[in-house]
Amino acid sequence: MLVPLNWLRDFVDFDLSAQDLADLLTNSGLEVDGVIDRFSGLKKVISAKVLAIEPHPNADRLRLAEVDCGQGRRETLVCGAPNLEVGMLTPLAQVGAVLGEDGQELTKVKIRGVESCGMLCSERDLGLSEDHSGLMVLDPEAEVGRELVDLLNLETQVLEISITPNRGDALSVLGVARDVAALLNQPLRLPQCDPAEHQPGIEGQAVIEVHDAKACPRYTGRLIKGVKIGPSPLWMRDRLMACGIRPISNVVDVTNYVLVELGQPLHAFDFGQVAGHKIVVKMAAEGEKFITLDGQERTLTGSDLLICDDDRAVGLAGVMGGLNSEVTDDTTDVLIESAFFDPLTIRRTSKHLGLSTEASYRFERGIDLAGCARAGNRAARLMDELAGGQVAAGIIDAYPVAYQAPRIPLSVSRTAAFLGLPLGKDEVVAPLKSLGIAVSDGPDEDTIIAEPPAARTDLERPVDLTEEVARVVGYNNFPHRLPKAEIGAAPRPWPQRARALARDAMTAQGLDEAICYSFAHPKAADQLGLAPDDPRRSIVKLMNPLSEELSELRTSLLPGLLSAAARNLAHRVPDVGLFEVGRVFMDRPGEELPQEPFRLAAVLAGLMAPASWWDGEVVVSLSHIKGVAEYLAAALDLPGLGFELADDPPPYLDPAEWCRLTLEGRPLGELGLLNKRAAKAFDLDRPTYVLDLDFDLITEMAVRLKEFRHLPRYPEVVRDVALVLDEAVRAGEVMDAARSGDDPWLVSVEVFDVYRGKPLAKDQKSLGLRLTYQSDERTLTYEEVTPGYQALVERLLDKFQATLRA
Amino acid sequence: MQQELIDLKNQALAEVSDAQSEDALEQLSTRYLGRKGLLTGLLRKTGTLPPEERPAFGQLANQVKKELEQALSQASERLSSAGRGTASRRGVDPTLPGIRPRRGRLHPITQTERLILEVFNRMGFQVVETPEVELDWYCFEALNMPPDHPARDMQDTFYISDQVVLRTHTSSAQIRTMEKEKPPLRIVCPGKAFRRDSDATHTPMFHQVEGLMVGEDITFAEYKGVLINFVHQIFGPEVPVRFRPSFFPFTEPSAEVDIGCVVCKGDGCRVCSHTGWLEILGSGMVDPNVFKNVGYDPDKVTGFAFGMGIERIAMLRWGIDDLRMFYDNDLRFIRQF
Repeated sequence: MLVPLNWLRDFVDFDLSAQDLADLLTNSGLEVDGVIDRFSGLKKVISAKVLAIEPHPNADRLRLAEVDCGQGRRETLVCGAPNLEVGMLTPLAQVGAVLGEDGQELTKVKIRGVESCGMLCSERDLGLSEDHSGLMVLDPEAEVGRELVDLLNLETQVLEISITPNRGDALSVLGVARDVAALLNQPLRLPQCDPAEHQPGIEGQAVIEVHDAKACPRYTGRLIKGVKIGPSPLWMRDRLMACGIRPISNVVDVTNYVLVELGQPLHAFDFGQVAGHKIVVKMAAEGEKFITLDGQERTLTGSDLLICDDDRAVGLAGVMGGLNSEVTDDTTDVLIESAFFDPLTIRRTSKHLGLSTEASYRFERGIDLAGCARAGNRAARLMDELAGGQVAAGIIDAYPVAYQAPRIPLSVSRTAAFLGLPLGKDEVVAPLKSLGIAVSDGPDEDTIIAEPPAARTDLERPVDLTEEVARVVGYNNFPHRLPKAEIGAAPRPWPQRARALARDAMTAQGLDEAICYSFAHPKAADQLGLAPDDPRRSIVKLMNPLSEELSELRTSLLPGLLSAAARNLAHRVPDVGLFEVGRVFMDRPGEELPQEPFRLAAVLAGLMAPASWWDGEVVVSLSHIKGVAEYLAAALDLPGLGFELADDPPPYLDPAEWCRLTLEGRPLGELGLLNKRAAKAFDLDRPTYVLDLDFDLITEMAVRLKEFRHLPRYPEVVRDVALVLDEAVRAGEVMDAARSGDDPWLVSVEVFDVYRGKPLAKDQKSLGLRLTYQSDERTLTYEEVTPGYQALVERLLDKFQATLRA
Repeated sequence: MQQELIDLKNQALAEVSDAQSEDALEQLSTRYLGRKGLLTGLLRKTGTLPPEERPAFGQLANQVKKELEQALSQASERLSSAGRGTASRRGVDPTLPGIRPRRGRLHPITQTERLILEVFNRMGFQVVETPEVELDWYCFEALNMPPDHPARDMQDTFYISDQVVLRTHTSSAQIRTMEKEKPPLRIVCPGKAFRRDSDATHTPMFHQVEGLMVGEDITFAEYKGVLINFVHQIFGPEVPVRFRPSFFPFTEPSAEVDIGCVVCKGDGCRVCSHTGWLEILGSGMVDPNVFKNVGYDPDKVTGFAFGMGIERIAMLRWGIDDLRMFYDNDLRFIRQF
């Protein structure tokens, strides 16, 4: 909502700067987004009187004008305008003025050899209209040397206000003025509305029938005959332009002017085009076509309200008039519609046609039911004033049920308690009255009865009035204190704590956290290569996505992370380690809402860390991503973490470098090397390893409280063995075999060395195992563990056809 | 023999002053002062002297020993202060960067969420979480936004079906919690929210923290008290706070909470659009209709609710000027926090 300040001054006096007024309104609920300065370039434009005219010595079409600039100052200017006349008062743009859309500052110039200290201006030069036929003619009696914007009372400052949906009443200059008056405790001046009337009256000349009083509770008509269509005066055009409305003609401008001033949308029909001089308000037929003012043909439904004449539709109620009855240059008689249409009806029509107008916007939010006639009168009066014509006496007012203000009881003591301030009755009543709310005594001393005006459709309940009191008093003038409440709170739910622990475990390993959109591209499932029956194809789709790539909800965290990894590599980040913990969305047939399981995924791409002097460049590997899983399992105390080799990798993993993860045999997820096809699909040109886990299972299985184990009482004995094995033998098999004996003292088997190269043969490797023996009954000796150790070594040599490394 | 002792001393001192390393000093020390050293050898011969010469020789020998020891320790100091010497010869360079494990970073949204929740946790607010894909009832209708209400225009909604939406705010958690639990209650709900909007200041997905406190004596004063306390904990006790009337269908009275601009301290700058104030959260007293919708008696209980954008607070804290950075997952961004 744009509110020009001078217009506001028509209704209320205030002695505040635009910024102070903006702060006042903002602090009371009408948020001012900004103060627009118009005509800042016209500061150096003044009224000047033409004293004498001389021919230009070097140009036939130019003349020299000597003008009085006020205070005895005279200037000579070069001018080419045809209407230059001695005695005329016209705007003079002096050096320093900024004119035109390109904002050029006027300087002293020589035109054909004659110096000109400024320029006499047309309306177009000043940005006041498109008129460039000659110099702008000012009232010759007006003051000479006065700044033009002051002389013409132009709207130089405009407040840009965001009106919340509940405050339809403030979508007008008068509505804003009412708040200003209440806040400053100033009287509100209402505009002059009643027109001079002439016989014959409207009755008998026009008929109005409302067939649907629910959709149209009130419809008033005013008739003006013999108007002369022409441009509006400057003051009106200026105010409309200040509000972002393009001036069209006096009659149309008046309807827009009253719309902004009083918040009542009006429509002016060319009465001559209204068949039978009859207006019928009724629902459209299903599928009916109608051409609106903007020339568009609209297809209507049975719940769109139409304004019709005897033969056809002439307007789409509350949204836009019809092309067939619009006011044209030839119009002489005008019927002014000032009506109240049901907000919901208008909203539905506006929505399904995708057509929102100044009118529909206000009807949707509710206008002043009691104010329809006043607005019609105001328009008639202004048309009379600006376009001539005679206002037919009387008004047709189809208004079967007059506005009845709700009687809202309000307890003074409860209001005071609710707001935390000891307000007395007067302190509650005064703010309400200042807003135009009628207040009377209630059944008891503590209760008052408030009756809000019709424009305040948002005031229905005591609490709504409490808010009005608070608004006028000022929210910041109420006290604040911390609540008295029982102390103690339940512990943080475990799933939240588990996620926090997991995130910390991931960052502790040097991975950085990503947060990707919950949206997914429809091609994501194919990028991963998911089978048609993969559960991750149970996708939730949006009905109204922003774009194709955001048209589904993700069923996997991987596409988001892989795309992020690719972007980071493209930015020359050498070491990409990203993880995310978040929800995915699985459609569930037969259920309204999808399942929202939590998952944890990680991606390692490129190097593990930037090249360092101690490690050099370490390229990511399967062991690294496996380590990430193991670290996470340790951090959350996950029991029975298993890595299973299998022949059925997920379609995006390399069959040679992957494994399935389990927790006590239950499927937890997968990890592995992204295969070539998937890497290509995600534009990844560096080796990329991924980990994708079911986080809900982690939450369920994690051991939240571990039992203390006594420290070993007796020292351990450590024995190492280095086996030379065929390359095909896997460390896991050897370790399993080592553990599979029945030696009760063997407590751990760890790999401490893997070696390939000379003097080993090409297809051989050496595996170093560290075996730890310990008893909880006594101290073991080296000799004691030797028989078991030797048996174990023999078993391994035999089973894997290994030799001992020399 | 005294002369022998003096010659030995002079020779030793000369060798010490020539020594170029700690090792060499070590060897000299052994050679002269060691158990089988030269000086020790001479001393052993004391017994061969006439008894009357012995005390003088003993004194002299002790003096020589002291002198030598002093010379050795001075030489050692000289060598180590001359620098680098010893260390670099051992292959240690203290000016090399240290060997350190990598430290990953939590996303700034996670960090900010933790910060916010911590404040409310300390005030006894329980953290709850509710679905991101939500029924119209929880997201709108129960929050006093019936179908066709103009307030629905305030938030452009993603629809899954006519009755299922991506939640436009975490306020749905208010209804889900109150439907299950009896008053009094204090909750905060962090999470993702979605609006059909994408430009420099809007992303289609963002994060909020919702809060709700309901009880018997919760008035406007308690509402203001908790939020002012929150702001002061996050932005510092000196930061001015103002409550500005606004409109949310599920609160009445409603207010936006602004803080004095953290950048210009209220003088007006680009960040605060020259107003001196920054909007940080929406809030208000719970509307009685909301209580009715969840079966609470609005004559018995009152309460307040608030919702804040995590990104907004993160941007103010760190001076981040582009919202979209949060979802680019650019490591050059994430690793800054």
